[in-house]
Amino acid sequence: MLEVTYITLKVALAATVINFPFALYIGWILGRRNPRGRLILEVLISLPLALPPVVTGYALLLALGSRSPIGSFTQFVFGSDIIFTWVAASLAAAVVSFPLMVRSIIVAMSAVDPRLERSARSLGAGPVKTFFSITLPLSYQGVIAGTLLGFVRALSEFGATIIVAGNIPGVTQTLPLAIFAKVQTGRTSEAFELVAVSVILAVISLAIHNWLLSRSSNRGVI
Amino acid sequence: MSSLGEAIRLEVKKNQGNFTLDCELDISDGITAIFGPSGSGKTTLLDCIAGFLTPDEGSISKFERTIFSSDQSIDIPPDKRGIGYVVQNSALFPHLTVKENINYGFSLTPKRNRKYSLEKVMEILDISYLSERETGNLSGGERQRVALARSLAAFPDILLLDEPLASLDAPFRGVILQKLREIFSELHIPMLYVSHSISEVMALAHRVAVLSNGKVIATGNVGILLRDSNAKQVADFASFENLLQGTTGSVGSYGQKFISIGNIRLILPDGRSDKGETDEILVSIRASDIILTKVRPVGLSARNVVAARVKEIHPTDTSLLVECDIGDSIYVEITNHAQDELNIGPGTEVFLIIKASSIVVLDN
Repeated sequence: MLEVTYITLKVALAATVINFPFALYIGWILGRRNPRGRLILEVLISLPLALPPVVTGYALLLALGSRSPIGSFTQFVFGSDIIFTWVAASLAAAVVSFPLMVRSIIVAMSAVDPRLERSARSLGAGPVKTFFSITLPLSYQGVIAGTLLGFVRALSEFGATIIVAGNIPGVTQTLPLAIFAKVQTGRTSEAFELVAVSVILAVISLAIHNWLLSRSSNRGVI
Repeated sequence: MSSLGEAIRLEVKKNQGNFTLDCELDISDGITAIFGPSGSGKTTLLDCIAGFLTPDEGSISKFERTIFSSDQSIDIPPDKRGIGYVVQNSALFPHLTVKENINYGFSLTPKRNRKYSLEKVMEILDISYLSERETGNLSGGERQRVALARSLAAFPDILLLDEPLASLDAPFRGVILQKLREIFSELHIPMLYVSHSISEVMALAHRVAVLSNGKVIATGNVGILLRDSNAKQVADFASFENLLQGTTGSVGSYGQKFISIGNIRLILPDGRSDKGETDEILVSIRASDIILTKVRPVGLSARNVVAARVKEIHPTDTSLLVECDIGDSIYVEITNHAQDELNIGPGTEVFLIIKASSIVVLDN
């Protein structure tokens, strides 16, 4: 049980870390600017939310498999492709949880008054300085909340993971996969233990998420 | 700075839907007002100068340095233009204290380029006492003073002001107007002041450019607002107020407060809080609140009767604005019908009757 929990946390954490810089960047682009091709970008990033995770997983399998460019690259560098490793599980969790994360960040960043950023610019701050001294400090609670939401989604990822990473105990078997395996083999009491762990992790993350959201809406942006 | 040529020289075209800004303008040192009704393109023009809007074509230079040119593909980003921009709602950073707000641009300026200290700026704007405060609970006037200080502390070569008084109550407007004058006299930063209030423009600016439908229709000293037929079409004289600066003092057995403006003295309404014996203050008197007469009136309840000489008579679309010399210029609104009876003209000696209660002291 400890091992399953450890793998689950490792996979979800890695997924969140992979996603964070991209989510911040895309969140800023869509929340603060009005880029051309906005609709296409929005549809693309939200696609994993609408697709069955199994489809996402299959797409990833094709993209990462040994016959794909990425697959040949990893084969060249690591000597094998990353299918059926915990890295593949993290990537699957990352793709599936990305929309939730980025959508929260878009909302948080679009709530920042653009006049404040313009003021910073005319006071001599470049775009990067403006982002880190104005935009991010004024939206960080939403950013953290979105990150947590993505983390929670990554914890519970099942469909895409089982396709690209399989269900290998001690390697890629996360809590949802382990529960599935136990239920399949009729070991219900063991399944219940894992269910309890899942519930505890989810409750803690969601509690922090909601607390952060309520704080950011209480403070408001003047 | 004037040795470096025009503060701003621009020639821009910018299309925004069914509105087109098409401007050619030279802005020299001093305080220049961009005057025009709402929708005339004033803010669009400022945004182009500040670098937040890219003109479709044209060029903009600041003290002979090109900051935008469509021909040469030059478009200096806003943070490298050295142009301060103060907007109507102040746009103070809510997560920073007053001091941190003011320090924002200051700390980004290399030490050798800092022409004055942070304290000096806070002193000019009289906000040292706010230093550690959060920005959330400041009054409108305080917010605008902090915004001005923040801009000045970034050492701009030019300051753009977009209706900085529009959202303020009358007393605060006076304070900010005073402060803008002080800033100019102490720091000599050229200012571009956007406003749709003819009273403010006449009280503050040295020169004015009149904007209408995205085009400059008149430029010159502020007097053109009353003389130029193009300019007069867009000016709203209906609530014209005289914004006059003077020195306060007290006199008589009642210790009544008065203000000296030019070579006249006006008794002020009772009950205003007084900061000191002599104080530079700004008062507002609506042109329609002043009564003009050719003979010295006697037995009046009005406290203020002053002698003046008519300088010029400016017809507006509904009435006449009589410009009277009291050492300063004061404008009195009279009807065409009244003029038929009075028959005054330049040089006529007149008396002005001003009720103390119609004098609004712009001071908090």
